[in-house]
Amino acid sequence: MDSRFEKVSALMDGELGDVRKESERMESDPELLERWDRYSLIADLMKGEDVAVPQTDLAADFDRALSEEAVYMSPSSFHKGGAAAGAKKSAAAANEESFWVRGLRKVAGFAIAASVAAVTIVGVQQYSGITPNGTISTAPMGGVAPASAEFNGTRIRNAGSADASSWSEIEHAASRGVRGQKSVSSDASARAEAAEDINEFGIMVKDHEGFRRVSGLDL
Amino acid sequence: MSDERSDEQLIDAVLNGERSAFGLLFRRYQYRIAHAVMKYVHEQADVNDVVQESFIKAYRALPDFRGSSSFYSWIYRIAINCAKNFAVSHGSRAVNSFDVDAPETESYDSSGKLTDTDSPEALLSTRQLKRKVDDTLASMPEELRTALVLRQVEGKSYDEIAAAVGCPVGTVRSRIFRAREILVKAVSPFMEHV
Repeated sequence: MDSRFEKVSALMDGELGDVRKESERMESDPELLERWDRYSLIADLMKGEDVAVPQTDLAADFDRALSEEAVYMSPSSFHKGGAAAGAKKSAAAANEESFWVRGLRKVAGFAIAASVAAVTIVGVQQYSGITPNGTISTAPMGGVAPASAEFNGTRIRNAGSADASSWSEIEHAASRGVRGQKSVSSDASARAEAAEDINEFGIMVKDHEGFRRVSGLDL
Repeated sequence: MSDERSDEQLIDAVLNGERSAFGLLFRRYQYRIAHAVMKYVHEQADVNDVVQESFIKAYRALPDFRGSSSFYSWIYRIAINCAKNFAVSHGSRAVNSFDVDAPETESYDSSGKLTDTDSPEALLSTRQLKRKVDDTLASMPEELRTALVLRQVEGKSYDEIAAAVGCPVGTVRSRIFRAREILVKAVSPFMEHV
């Protein structure tokens, strides 16, 4: 007889020491899971329970659904799993690691995006008529300038027809459009994306108030 | 009940990051829960959906499970509520007029009679399985049968069984395992997917 099944039998009776290790091993071994199923059914029948044996592999469907659920994490699980020490990783520890790795990637992504944006703004200021103090000159550069142009949704008239108030309007629009509006929308989309990633990780963290789902903005 | 210690261990594992342990709880109780749900929901595919929904709800609420009742009683109540809601939302008349909130009442309808919502084929199959288990138990070596019955039916621990029959705990563990293996071989021909 297969001694692996003897451990399944002991686990069923609550007589096995390392439940986490055995259930983790069973997860990847269909034979062990099948044994657990059959021992369970036999137990029900011996106790005279009413049972219905599904015609489909209901447990496999459930395992798929369960895999999309959050993993519960208590402070002790960070130590018990041993994953951080480089031992075989539990699913929870793998999630923890991927969380930090992906977090760093996101920070790196922001840094690169910010650098590109800064270079672009400087470039535009240097070569497209935006002065260092943020004002826009719409004077034609080697060609005929249009009477007006669309800039981030704000119509800007040609410098030739601009009066003092319209220059102020243009400066304000440019400042809001290039710096404010752009950075706000970037920040909002990044936060939404980060929250989406956190949900994807699906981590339930235990603190003094009990388990709670970690949201993107909590971290 | 004999499964409570094992259930507690599995729940503890789930709450400490081992999600797959909840899959074992599902596998342990799926047959009983499916039978309970079938009293309210008749299509096999719907039964499967309700059983799955019940366990997912239980998983999400697991930190609220205080252990004042057994895990089975808890999941049973969740499943019955899910089944009733399903039946109501689908216009089924299968919902009994009284609340079923304890596993002990699962075999009776509002008039107190045994329900016959199971298909004749399903009942036959279950009866065959039960008879096969009984016959196989009766024919297996006595020391194996005694160990398994004390464990599975009486709910004794390995230590208690060892003390009762006068043998080492390791021997008890081995006997229970061998008895289960004999039963698995006996019932396997009756089961397609289990």
